[in-house]
Amino acid sequence: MQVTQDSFMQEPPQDWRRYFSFCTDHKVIGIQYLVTSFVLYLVGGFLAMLIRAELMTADADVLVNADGDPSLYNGVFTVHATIMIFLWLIPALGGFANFLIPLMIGAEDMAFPRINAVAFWMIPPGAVILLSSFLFGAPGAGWTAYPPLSLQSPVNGDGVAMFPMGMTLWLVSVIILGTSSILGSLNFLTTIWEMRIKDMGIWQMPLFCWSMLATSIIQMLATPVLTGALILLGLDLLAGTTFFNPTGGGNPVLYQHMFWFYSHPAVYIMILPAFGMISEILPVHARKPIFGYRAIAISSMSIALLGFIVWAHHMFTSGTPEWLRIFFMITSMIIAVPTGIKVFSWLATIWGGKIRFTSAMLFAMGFVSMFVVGGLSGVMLASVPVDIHVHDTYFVVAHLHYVLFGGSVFAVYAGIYHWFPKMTGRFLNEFWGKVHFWLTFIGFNLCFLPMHKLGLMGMPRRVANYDPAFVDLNMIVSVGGFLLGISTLPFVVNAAYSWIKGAKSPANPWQGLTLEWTTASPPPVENFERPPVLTCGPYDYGHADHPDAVVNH
Amino acid sequence: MQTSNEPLFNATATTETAEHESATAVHHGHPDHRLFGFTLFLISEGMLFVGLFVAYLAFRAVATEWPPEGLPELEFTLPFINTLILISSSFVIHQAEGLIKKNDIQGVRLWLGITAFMGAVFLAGQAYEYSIFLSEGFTLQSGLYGGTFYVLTGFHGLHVLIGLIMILTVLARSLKPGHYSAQKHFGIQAASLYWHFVDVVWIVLFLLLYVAR
Amino acid sequence: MNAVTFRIIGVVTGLAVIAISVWYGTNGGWLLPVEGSTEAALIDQLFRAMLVISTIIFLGVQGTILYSAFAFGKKKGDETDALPEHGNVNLEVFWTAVPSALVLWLSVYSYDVTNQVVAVGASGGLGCSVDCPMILQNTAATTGKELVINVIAQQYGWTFQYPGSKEEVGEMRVPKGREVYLNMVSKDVIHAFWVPQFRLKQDVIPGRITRLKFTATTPGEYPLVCAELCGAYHGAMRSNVFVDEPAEFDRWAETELGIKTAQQTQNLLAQK
Repeated sequence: MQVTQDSFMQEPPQDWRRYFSFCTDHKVIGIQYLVTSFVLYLVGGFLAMLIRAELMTADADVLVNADGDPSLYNGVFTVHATIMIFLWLIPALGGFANFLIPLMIGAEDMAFPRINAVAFWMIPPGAVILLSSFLFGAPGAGWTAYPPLSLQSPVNGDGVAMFPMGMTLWLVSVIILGTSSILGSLNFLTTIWEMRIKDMGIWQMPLFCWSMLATSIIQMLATPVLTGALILLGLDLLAGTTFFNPTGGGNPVLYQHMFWFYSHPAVYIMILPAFGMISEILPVHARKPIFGYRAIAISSMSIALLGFIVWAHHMFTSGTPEWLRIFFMITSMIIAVPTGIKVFSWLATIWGGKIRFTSAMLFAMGFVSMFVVGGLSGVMLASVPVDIHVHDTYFVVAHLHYVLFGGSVFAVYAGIYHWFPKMTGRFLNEFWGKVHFWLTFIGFNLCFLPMHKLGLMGMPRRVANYDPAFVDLNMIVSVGGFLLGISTLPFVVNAAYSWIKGAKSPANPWQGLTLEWTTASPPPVENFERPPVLTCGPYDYGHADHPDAVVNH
Repeated sequence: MQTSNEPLFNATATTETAEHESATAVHHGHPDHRLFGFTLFLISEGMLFVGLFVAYLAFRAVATEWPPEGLPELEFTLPFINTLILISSSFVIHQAEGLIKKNDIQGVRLWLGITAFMGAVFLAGQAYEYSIFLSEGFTLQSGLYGGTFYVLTGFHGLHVLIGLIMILTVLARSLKPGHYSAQKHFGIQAASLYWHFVDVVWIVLFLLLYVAR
Repeated sequence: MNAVTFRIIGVVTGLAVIAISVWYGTNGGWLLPVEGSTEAALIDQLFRAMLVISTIIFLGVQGTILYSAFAFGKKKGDETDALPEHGNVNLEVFWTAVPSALVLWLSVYSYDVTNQVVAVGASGGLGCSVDCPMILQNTAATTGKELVINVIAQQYGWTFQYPGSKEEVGEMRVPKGREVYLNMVSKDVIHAFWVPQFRLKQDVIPGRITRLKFTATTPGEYPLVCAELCGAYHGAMRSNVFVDEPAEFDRWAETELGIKTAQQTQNLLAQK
């Protein structure tokens, strides 16, 4: 109790309130993003538990209304996906970017602090609007919202069509969140490009900044196309146009093209920052320079650029003509090359290191291990004939969760354990961190590994009822899912407790070499007491000639 | 959504915070990034139009009948005059941008005023075209032909309107003595850049909709 | 451990990984349902090839991580950094070139399978094509020997129309060994025709006709699954496809549909 009071005494009394205000400090905004998105992650995770509860049996019996209509189930998985993408991963990674970019490049804030705050404050209304759709009959067309299904008005008990409130709220919410993401990206790009300290050239930039540069380019160029598609969809829904409505001569497949033109790159928006964080964390805890710095930096950029010409691999069964399918198959497969370069470079980074098995490092190594699985199934999905079999099945669900959970979420956890001391000035408890890791790792594989087989054997995704032959595997998946739910508990308690009472952290608890570790934990409002100076590269571990070096050979 | 953001950029740029920000800029010695950020924003905004244009081309390419029977062909003369007005207004606002660098605030006000007037004429012309079409029963709901026409021109018109508001705001601020100077005139630059952007979008739109119909 | 021993262990481990991967990959059949069509056999072979490669990479990566975890952990009391190794051009070229070659080979192989399936299905890549004036069409003209079935999808069921019969039936039966040609339409939203045992899937899109071709090889009863989210009861939109012996199929067509495809199927197959 004494410690708590002390810590509050030293800071302005209204201190905690700044997290609930229109604050323009990038560090506050970063934490606002992280906490908000984590709360929404718990909501999305709760929805996932509901999905797994429904799928414990082959019949639709949990998320159904009195008539046995499983519309609610569709609403739950639609909102689950929308939350996890637009309200958890994109803003959570944006939170890290906000907190870290100015610190890593030695700037005192973002280029446009107010726009930064506006971008954040669009998230809570977006979330409220999305979640409120449950009050009006949630949108049930999946997060992809393919027309004409998304254009079908819900029908009330008397068979009369009602106003499509759920779908409308979904559209408004996603458009708001997309705009927020665009505003964020403008800030990241300008800050990284224009505000590095003088002696930091692009090849001295930490790799996280490289990955955010790549990510921001995608956000800036791809998100508006989604907005365009959603506006046209909204007009179809509300204003009686027929852009995507075949009954009026519209083209539903065009929507898919516009949607995936954003939504495939959106996968890279959710994984590239994670790549960047892993590239930061592995060298620090392995006490070894990142292996192949330039190759990793260039591969981030090439993934971002290639990401713009692969979208139709989501549409191999949509009647896409043969030559297009072949084109998109080849481009999609090529993406495996820069991704592979990263994975192999990470392995070479830890190889021969002096690994400190902190929770951050465990999650980072878990990331590499799990992401590879998602990468390999990704190559299979890029192949036209194999994709034709497994498209829209649980194989795809497994793949995307290995990339976005085994990948991005593991990276977010790694990032939290790694930078929590910098953000709060206190350590997270390591013991409970490791408990958290192993629960997550086991729950994750239990949940998503069997899905590969389910998909290959013939279970389509987005179903409330399925072939009873799949019950056993689904039961394992559900158990894994609930374990994943439980795995967040030690983390939540650990984070809340440590923030208030955790052991105090020095400025550089992990002996890192990037600039954020040269300032106090937590950093002062202006970030650096004196203008920071680059004394060594971001990953020069093991060199005797830098001041922070812990060398002894 | 997209559109509601420009004034914000403008606000951060030119309101009373400008003094404060320039003061801190001097203090910490980092330069003004607003033009860089604004340009990125316009590129992003441009992608929205690219998306809509590509959608239009995709509809157009598979349409067997364009315009479908019973719907009017697009008139050429009025939009052509409108195009000339909008393109010339881009040169007009360029004058204003040039003059502020010579600290000629009177000239800036004059040329901004003319640009605003030309923009208003363009919008009036557009409104007139709409009113004729609507009276002929050619509406947003008239299939893909009507839908694409109204969405493309409507979105562009909305951007012209926002540009017009920006110009008028800048004009109003230029009345305050010393608000803009040869060294400090981001507002004018931004308004001008935005106006060029609106212009370029219109040229593509005009070629697609009216010329290559 | 001296360098020679180290190399020997490395080579042996590598060979073991490859051997395990080849064994696992080629026995990947337990992951897949029965091969019910000629197309399925080709696609499965490709899948097994990918499974072999994936297993090698999987074991290699996980093995490296586990080995590193055991071999390169920080020793107690050792607070020093590891040796500064920033990269190795040869190694980096190697792990850029090999995956590039692999994915190119896989692309070519996948393309080849696509085409072979076309050869089996007469024309029309993987048997799927779509009516749309904008795109290059697979003018997959029927040779007259195929069994052409119209498939009608709507929320939440499938109906089928056989040549010579105006009736829409709720049961899909196809003869073994005869090429089947599906013309598919949807009455409402997008559905997808998927028979896992045939390994073939094609979206059924309102406002246009999509096509699918296959030749069933193994008699039996297979699930027909809607694979594109189509509404609340999407999961319940399941039906069956029965693959019959030709004579059996002919009998069914004659008695149930009242059409004389009977002679046709048997005769056509005899002609081959």
